[in-house]
Amino acid sequence: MVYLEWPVFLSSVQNMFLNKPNKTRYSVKYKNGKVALKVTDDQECLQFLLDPKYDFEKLENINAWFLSNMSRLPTEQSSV
Amino acid sequence: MVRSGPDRFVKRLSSLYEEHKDHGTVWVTMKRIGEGKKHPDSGCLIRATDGKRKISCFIASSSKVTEFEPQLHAIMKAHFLGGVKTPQRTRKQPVSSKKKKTT
Repeated sequence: MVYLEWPVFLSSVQNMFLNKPNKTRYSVKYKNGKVALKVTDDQECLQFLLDPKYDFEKLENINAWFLSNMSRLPTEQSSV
Repeated sequence: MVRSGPDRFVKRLSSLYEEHKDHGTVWVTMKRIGEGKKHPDSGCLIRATDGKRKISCFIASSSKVTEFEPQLHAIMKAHFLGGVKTPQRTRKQPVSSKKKKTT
């Protein structure tokens, strides 16, 4: 498993979604107190491992970004 | 797959996290669904599963996101930050060193 650094992961997943909004899916996996974020467009897979005790704000930020962009109409989608 | 409204989804997700706080895995997946034959509206499909049970909800507009997002974060915060058990340490009782006076 290859886990990226947060700034690289965040910019990469946002670019992936903006390029392929209908193919990209974002998953949050919770196991044994650890959270693994995975974003894929069926061609590339980007992962980030975080400890919610220290990085919960990052989880909130990325959740908010995906929720707002995925629910918007195509013309309303904004970049970072 | 059980499709429900956002409020009911949040309650079911909370129970999923509660059941698996000591063991197992819970996945939450978000995917954008575009307009098509099957879906007249575009929006965000949110799914959750523990490997056996599956639940989902569909959020069509950004206004519903503003209601749903804080609920989702509240549940994640409650279970992620409060679900990790620390190993209990056994306390050793201090040995009392009382000297007996002999007369």
